[in-house]
Amino acid sequence: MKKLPIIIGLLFIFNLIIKGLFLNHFPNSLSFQEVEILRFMHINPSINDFSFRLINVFIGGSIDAILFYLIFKKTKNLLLSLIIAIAVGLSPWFVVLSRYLNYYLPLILLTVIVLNILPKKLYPILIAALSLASFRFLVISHDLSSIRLFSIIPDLIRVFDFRTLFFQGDPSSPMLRIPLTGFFYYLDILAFFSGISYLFLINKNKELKTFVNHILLLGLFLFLILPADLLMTQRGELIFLWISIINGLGYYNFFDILRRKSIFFIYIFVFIFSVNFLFTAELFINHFDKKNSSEWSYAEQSTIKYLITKNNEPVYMTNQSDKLYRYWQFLKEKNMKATEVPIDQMKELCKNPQNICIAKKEELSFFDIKKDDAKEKFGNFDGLPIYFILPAR
Amino acid sequence: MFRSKRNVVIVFFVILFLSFFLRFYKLSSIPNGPEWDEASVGYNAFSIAKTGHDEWGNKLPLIFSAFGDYKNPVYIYLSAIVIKVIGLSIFSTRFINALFGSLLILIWYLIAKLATKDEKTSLLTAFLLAFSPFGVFFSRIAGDGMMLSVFLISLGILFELMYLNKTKWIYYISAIICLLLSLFSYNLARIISPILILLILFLNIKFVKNKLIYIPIILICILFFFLVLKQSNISLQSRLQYVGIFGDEKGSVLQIKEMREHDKNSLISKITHNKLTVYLITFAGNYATYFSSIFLLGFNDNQLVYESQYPPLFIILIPFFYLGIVLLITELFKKTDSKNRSARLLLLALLFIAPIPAAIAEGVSGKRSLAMLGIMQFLSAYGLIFFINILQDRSRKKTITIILTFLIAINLFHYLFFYFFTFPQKYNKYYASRESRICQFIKNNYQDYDYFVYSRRINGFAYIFPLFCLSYPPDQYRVTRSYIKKDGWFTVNSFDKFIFPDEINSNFINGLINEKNKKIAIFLNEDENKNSPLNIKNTKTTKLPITSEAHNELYLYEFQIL
Repeated sequence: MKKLPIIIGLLFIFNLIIKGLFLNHFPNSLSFQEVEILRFMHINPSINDFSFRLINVFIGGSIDAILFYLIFKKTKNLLLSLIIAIAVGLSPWFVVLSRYLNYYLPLILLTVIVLNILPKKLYPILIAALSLASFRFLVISHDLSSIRLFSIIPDLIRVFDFRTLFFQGDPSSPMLRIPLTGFFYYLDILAFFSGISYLFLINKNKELKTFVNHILLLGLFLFLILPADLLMTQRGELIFLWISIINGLGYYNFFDILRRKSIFFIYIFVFIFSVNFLFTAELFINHFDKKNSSEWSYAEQSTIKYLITKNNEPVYMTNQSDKLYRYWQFLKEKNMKATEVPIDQMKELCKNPQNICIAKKEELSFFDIKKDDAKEKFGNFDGLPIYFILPAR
Repeated sequence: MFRSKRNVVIVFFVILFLSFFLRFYKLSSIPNGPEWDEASVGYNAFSIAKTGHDEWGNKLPLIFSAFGDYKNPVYIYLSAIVIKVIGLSIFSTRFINALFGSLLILIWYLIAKLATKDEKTSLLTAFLLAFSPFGVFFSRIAGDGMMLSVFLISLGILFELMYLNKTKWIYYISAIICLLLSLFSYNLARIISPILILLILFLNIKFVKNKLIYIPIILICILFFFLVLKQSNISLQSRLQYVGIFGDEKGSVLQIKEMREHDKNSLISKITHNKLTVYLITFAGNYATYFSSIFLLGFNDNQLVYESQYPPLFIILIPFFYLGIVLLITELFKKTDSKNRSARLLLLALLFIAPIPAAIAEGVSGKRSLAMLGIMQFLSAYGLIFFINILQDRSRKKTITIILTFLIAINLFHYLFFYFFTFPQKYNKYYASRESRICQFIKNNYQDYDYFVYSRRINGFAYIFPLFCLSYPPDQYRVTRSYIKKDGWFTVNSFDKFIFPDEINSNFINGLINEKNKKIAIFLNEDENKNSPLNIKNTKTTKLPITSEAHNELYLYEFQIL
């Protein structure tokens, strides 16, 4: 098919737009995980430039394009493949995971590549499983004790809970949770049931069924081997990919039924989906950062932005402010210095008005300073202040 | 085995016998009791049986004020009959729910038989319901008559299926009456039954030959409508504000405020974050829970009474439950006769309407979703029998049947062990265990003391327990009590020898002691004991710890005024 490369290209661009638009603003601060990866890669970005996130945007786009090609190869059904690719590409969990730097998105890429390039006789599912296991133990962590077999069943129960999936989102932490919504759109719950019935009752294509089942099996395997304390979005990513594919099948099924009735119903359906999409987009753009500002270290980065404006004044912070110090080490501009000191030494240092002293809320009583007397205060978006710039005394 | 009618009857009666046994065995002691709602229901029924008035002196009321929570009347009136015959006790208070919980098996056996015409599915439905964790648990507590409510709704469904089968007007009217009656049994029916009635009226339009049947139906509906109207403004409204997601101080409303603050109250935020959208999302999320793993596989471990702490279905049945739903939906679109399709539509409607009362409340609740009982077991049985029937290979069919039977048996015995052994040990303390001990003490020592004092910190409605356990004469209670009504709730301060202060401290005791030679029994919980009035002048004080059970510490102080 001649148009195929064009469609794949367009799909890739579509993904770049969805995942890469306003990359510097949403999320508007660095996660601690990103700091760790960037340090590992020896990249020191500026505090306002998150272009390194493009790595994941490209990975996200590639996953969707490869997935489209894979499904097309198996079904020879362009519309079905396209609907699945759009459903996956627009899935809220996938968009969020593609908009910040993390180790976990490459695992999906690895899976779809292995499933795509290896011929059947080489048992691609086994090789994919082996690759996932290798990546997990070599790159993410080689700590076996982080696998907790006994909690697998209750954790899986939570993953497959409809409320979690479609209305509530990640229960393990709000970090990657779009407020008021789940891993998927509300409308996806209908598509999910439609997709399940399509896959098992209507679909006659065995290859498609096998592929979808393989994704689920690999998802369960990855869920099993990844550390139990990971966020559910990361740990269950292949399971979510499976659900997104099922949703795509469901939307195709709806489309198939509706087009036989009247084209008008399709317009209505597209309109309802668009409302759902815009509603979720509003939640992501206007509320994701504000609601989750603590998880995205908003307070630390606001403090550092302030310190950068203070040029070369010596900065002192207590050992209690370790998280701030680690962000500082990473985000400070050249020649700027900050020192972590024990709290009793700091009292003496703060007497010098040239020094900038930072303390946490619980340490203020030690300096005999009230909250309102602080020179500057920094907190999470709508939370109480956490870091205080102390006045010279 | 099921080809002979005799065998079917024998198997059915064995199941029915077992269901009665599971619901009546140790009914008074598992769970512990009486829990405060049970005590209230029991005493009001006792009061009706003795005097024809409720505890507040209202003659044959349509709704019982009780603590100010307005209890529905059907369960109380039926209990009054039982209490008239065998006296007031935990057993007699729970009797009606246990009885109707057992008879529910018969109703669902008949529903399954009418819907599927298959003996195996019907017997399996009856079996699964007989041993159902929700079925057993909710039949063994009085509550506000929740099991009676489910029974009446199910009976309504049965009559409608019988009408669809034989088109006799008596079934039609009986279905409507049962559903209308359920409105007065438990609040969940107030949402489910009106929708079912409308659906039945709609479904039956094309089958009604003699339009005159609508005259009695409309008259009955009008009568019930007025009865509901008479009590609805005081009961349902207060109930919804109390338990629902709609109150102004509830999480969803606070969420709107937070979201709008993020957007600085912009127009977009007003369009996207308002009561309609947030209520709708909260409701949809709650609703989805009742078809999800959190509910279907949920082993809760909370301190709530009226929660079974066990999943509603046996775990192995869950895939068959989903399969049953898919099958019923698929059959809806097949070209069968319209009566058959109406029957399936009615059953599906029941399944999808049943979680609504729970979805408009906060948290996951078994009791509010209890109307799913019966239909869940039917769909599981339907799915399971279908699954076994599609297996063509005979030996495979046999093997899978044996494996499934084995797994169901394991789950069944696990549940029975949980309910009759683990549950009493772990959860009895939440079922007014402390109040029961006080009751027992009062019962044995009523004549020995001049006053019994315990604060409402032991129980908010402490007065109901001595009333219940002494079967205290209602006429005498009404004359001697002193009470106030605050924020819609009744607070009884004292009656006869009993005093229930807000808090017990030295000042209170000193104020009480003004007559010589009086003997007073004071019960204190752990907190009160820490600040106990030990140094009361001119008294002889004895401290007797009654129980040191965790969360339920109870101490008795005996004062003899010198």
